[in-house]
Amino acid sequence: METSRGAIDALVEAVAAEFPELGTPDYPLGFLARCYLGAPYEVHTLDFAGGIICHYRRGEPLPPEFEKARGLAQHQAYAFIEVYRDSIHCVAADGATTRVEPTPT
Amino acid sequence: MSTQLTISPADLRAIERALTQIGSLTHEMNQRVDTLQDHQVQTFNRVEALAAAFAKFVRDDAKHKQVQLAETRLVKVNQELETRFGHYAEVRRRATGILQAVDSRLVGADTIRSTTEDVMMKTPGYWLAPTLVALASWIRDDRPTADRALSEALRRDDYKASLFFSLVLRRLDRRGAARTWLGRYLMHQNPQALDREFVVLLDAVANGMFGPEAREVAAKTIETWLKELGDRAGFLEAQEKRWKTALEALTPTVPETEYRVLRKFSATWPALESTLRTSRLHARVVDYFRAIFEGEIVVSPQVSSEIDAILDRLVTHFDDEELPLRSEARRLQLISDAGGDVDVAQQRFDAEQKAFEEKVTFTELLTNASMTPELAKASRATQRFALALSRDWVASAHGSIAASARAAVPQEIALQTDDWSGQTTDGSNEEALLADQGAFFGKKEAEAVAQVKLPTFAYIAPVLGLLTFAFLPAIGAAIAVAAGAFYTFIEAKGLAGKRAKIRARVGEEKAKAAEVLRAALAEVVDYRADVNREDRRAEDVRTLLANISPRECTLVQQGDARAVLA
Repeated sequence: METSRGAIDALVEAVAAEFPELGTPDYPLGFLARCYLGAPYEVHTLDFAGGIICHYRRGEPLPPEFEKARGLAQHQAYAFIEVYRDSIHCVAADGATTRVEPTPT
Repeated sequence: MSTQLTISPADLRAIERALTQIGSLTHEMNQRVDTLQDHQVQTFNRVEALAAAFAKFVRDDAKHKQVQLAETRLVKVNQELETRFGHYAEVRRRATGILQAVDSRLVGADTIRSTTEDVMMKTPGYWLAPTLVALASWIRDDRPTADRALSEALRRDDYKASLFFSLVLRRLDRRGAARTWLGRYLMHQNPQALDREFVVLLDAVANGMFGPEAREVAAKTIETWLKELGDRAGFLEAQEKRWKTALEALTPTVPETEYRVLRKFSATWPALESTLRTSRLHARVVDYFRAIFEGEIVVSPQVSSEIDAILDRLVTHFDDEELPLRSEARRLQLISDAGGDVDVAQQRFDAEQKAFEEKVTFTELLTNASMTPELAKASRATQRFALALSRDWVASAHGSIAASARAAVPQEIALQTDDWSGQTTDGSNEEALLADQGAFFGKKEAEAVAQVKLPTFAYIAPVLGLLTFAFLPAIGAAIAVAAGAFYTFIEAKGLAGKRAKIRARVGEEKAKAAEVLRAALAEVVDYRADVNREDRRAEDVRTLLANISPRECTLVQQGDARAVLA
């Protein structure tokens, strides 16, 4: 276990050294989409397979990093929103994506 | 013996009269105080209006001075342009004349020779002079001179001289030679730093004026450039950013006649205005792009005159050396056009500046040709070609603008009238807000009414009257008690009037505030509908861009170019 862990770390370091311009890997934290249950529900979180994890009511707090995607997740132009630490990616029904860096409020 | 004391009834009429006079005087005093208050309010309003008028006057005056300053400087800049580069204009005129003379064959070779040699002497360093000498030598079949002049022309400006000869030779229908010159011209171009005149070439090729041979040469070059550029890290992000700036320059303003209540009574207005402007941008973009692609581009059968126009642009447009002054002249002109509003002028100038830049990347050139064709000297064919090549970048930039605007649409809209404030999402909570506002004014009224009390003297006046029994005769003391009681009675009677006035005033404020609130909520409903309607136009932009066929509009084959952009 330790060996394989060490090998993975070494591999990650080697890749990072080879491609320094790639920076810190940024994986999606999760997915947020419009909830069609109707009021009072407005959004729900999705797993990687598109299954619903949890429905959220209007005003009900989302996990902290997801709050920035709340407004756009409800917009009909997008099928769902990929939530990243510093940005969100809006995905339309035809697969077109748009990266948005929320402005600090 | 007893004494009899007779008390005659006292004559209190004088005292009663005096008290009545005091009462009427108090009433009159109250009226005057009220009048004074009204005057104070009127005076305050007038002073406020005067301050606003004065501030407007100061702003207008500053703008007026800016216009005067800009116009004075513009005259100086134009004079400098004339002094320093006026002789270039003469060369340009002669170049056009020589080209026409060559066509018409009305001017003798000797005249052309002396003319070209004359301009050669007058404008040392200017690329056009030896180019004309080479042309004149070529016409009279003087190869040694032509070669020397050609070398000098290429030395002074390889790009322009190559382009000049490719255009002239194409006009004279020497296609093979034209293609060779075109190839030479392209070979020296760097897609990261293209000369401004490259758009002239693009214009000619996009209009099909060079024929298939030259088109093939240009298409291969552009294909290679796009591949090279696309491989660079951060290229797509840079393109998206560039196109965002270009598209945002089309953002309309919201007329002051719209949303008058929200402008004044909502702290959220800046965000509302910003999102409204961006949502209205979609329709502008659709109209702008549709206008570019509507109608057929008919290439004139008189290719010669079309090339004349392109050649004319090459020889008549200002040279690199003139750019700083031309740029300054344009900035001053914009200040003058904007009525002295330096900020607005600077904003327009910055947006146009890209088109004025001495060196542009190929992708910048595409943006300039698409969005500022007049400044980039691009024809409609080039505009279509440039936009078709940039289709994916435009879609990406537009998607980003739309998403950012959607994210910025405020969920809650703040409203405030006087000291009351409330929030609404879509204007549907009118009853709750009116009730809240009513409660606010109810409280305000109660507090104001509670402040209206008898003065302390009114409480002690009758008591003081009673105390006078200690040192005044009974009659005098009785009068004092009566006077004190009467004073207290008058004051108590006035309280009801004051309270009624306060209730009337607060009631009026409440009615006005409710009216404002209803109007604001109506505008909130309009705003939501407006933003939603305009936002749906974003889909039109996507559809329109998706329907642009690069195959029809560009020189590059679809497969390769899109593979680079994907």
